[in-house]
Amino acid sequence: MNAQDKSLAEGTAERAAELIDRYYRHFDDPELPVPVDAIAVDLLGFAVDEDDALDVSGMLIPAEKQVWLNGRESRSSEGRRRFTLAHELGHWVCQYQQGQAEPRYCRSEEIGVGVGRKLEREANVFAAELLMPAPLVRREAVALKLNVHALAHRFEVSLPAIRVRLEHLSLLPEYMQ
Amino acid sequence: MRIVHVADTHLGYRNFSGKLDPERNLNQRECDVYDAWQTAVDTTIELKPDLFIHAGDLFDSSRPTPTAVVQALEGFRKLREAAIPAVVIAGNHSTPRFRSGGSVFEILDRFGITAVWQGPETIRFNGLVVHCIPHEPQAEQLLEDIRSLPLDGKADGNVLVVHAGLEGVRQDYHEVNEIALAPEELAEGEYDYVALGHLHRYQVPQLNAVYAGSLERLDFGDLEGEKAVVEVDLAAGAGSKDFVRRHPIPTRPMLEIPIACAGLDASDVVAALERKIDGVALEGAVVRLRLEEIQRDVWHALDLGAIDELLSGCLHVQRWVGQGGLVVGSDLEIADISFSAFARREMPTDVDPEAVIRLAQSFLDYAAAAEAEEAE
Repeated sequence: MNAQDKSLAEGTAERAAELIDRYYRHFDDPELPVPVDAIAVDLLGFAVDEDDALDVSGMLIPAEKQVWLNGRESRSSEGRRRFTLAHELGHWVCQYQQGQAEPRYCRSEEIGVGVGRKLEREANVFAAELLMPAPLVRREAVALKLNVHALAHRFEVSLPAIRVRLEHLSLLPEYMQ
Repeated sequence: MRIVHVADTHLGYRNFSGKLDPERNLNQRECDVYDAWQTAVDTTIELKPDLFIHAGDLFDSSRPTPTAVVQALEGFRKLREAAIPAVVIAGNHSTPRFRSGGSVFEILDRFGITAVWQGPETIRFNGLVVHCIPHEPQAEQLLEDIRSLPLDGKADGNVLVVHAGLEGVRQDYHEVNEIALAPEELAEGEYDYVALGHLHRYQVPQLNAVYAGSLERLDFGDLEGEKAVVEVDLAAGAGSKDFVRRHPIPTRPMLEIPIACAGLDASDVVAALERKIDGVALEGAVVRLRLEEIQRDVWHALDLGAIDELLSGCLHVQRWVGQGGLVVGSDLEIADISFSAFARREMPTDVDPEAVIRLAQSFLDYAAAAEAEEAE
């Protein structure tokens, strides 16, 4: 993780953890995979819909509490869909709850761990912290012997996402990189 | 305690008929595979491990030629003379579909090589317990075989040797008769090391499990990375930097040369190829020339003689109308008429179009190679 992401991660990880805590205070769901749809809909009151015609990966309309996801991308990878949704929630928690109100349109190349401009990077860091909380990743990494595919299943994220997360947490030995 | 792990040697593999090794008068690719095997054995002898493990597909077929058998026996003889015990399991290529004709592994067994081909078996080597799981055509049975061999908590180490794919792990080639374990199943047992065979590209799917990969590149789906003998130091422990070391072995160069042909005329394509190969070591290489998005009239007008001359040092050249397929005209609404484009556009939502494309591509590869051979 670069210095910029590290500084973003400090407050962002706490926000993601707080959101998960709030969810489990109200709902009784399995711990993994992190129920990002339920967090969006049941806890935060968002409407989450998909549209094949969307020319971006995800779109957040704060005034309407609406998230639009690209339908084609969502069908091609559930992990990708969950990450995009978590990314949009990152905009909401990290930016709009701090006073910004403009809609966000997020292109595919800006969604993913370690990519994008500042606001997008912050949303990406949040998405990674929300879907793959560090304590749970460490615990499951031991249980599953760092089996990257099994971890991707367990957290319901894409392979690149879990791999980058493991690298950021310095969990991958050199011979696995 | 140290182990050397290899797999997928495919002794007896042949390709590009008519291309002979001038000294041995054998198919050149067959010789390449033998050379890689002997190099791996010599490397092992230098490393002096406590055990040599072959994780399946020693032979390319269940009925290998006498030459392939001799090559195998010669390698094991050298290991025995160096006092390195060896164990080998049968993979999907080396397992006969009908067992009535016997197995080549019986020959290995008679010559004192620990060969496991009939069913799961635990073998002990000086305090090390090796759980050997030969190829099994049913995934459920394979898992049952693995679970049937209990770990020995008093041993110096428990090693699992298995020949199977892994669900979700992409390979760019496809085989008949292959099976795959779920990643979670691989993570089940508390083995000190899992020696995997079947996938030809070196990869480490989990902390204590390694696909050693093949020793030669056998198709264009296996171009990335170098080929190597894997050395494992069980005492270092999974996760430590000394746990896995790779010792590269030389292989025949195999590469793809993609040329973006959109908008080029026939002479431009040849010129683009000339620029692309400038400085590239092609002597003896196996090459796939990918002519991407080439227009039909340009394809027909190509100076194939000039292309052949540019690539004359190669062992074999496969010309391939690559990614995008032939472009029939820029004014068409759907310019890309390739199967890939069609599959991505039209595949039902519950079918992974990329998997279908890869499978189709492997069939096309095979057909193109056969056609090229016939043309020679």
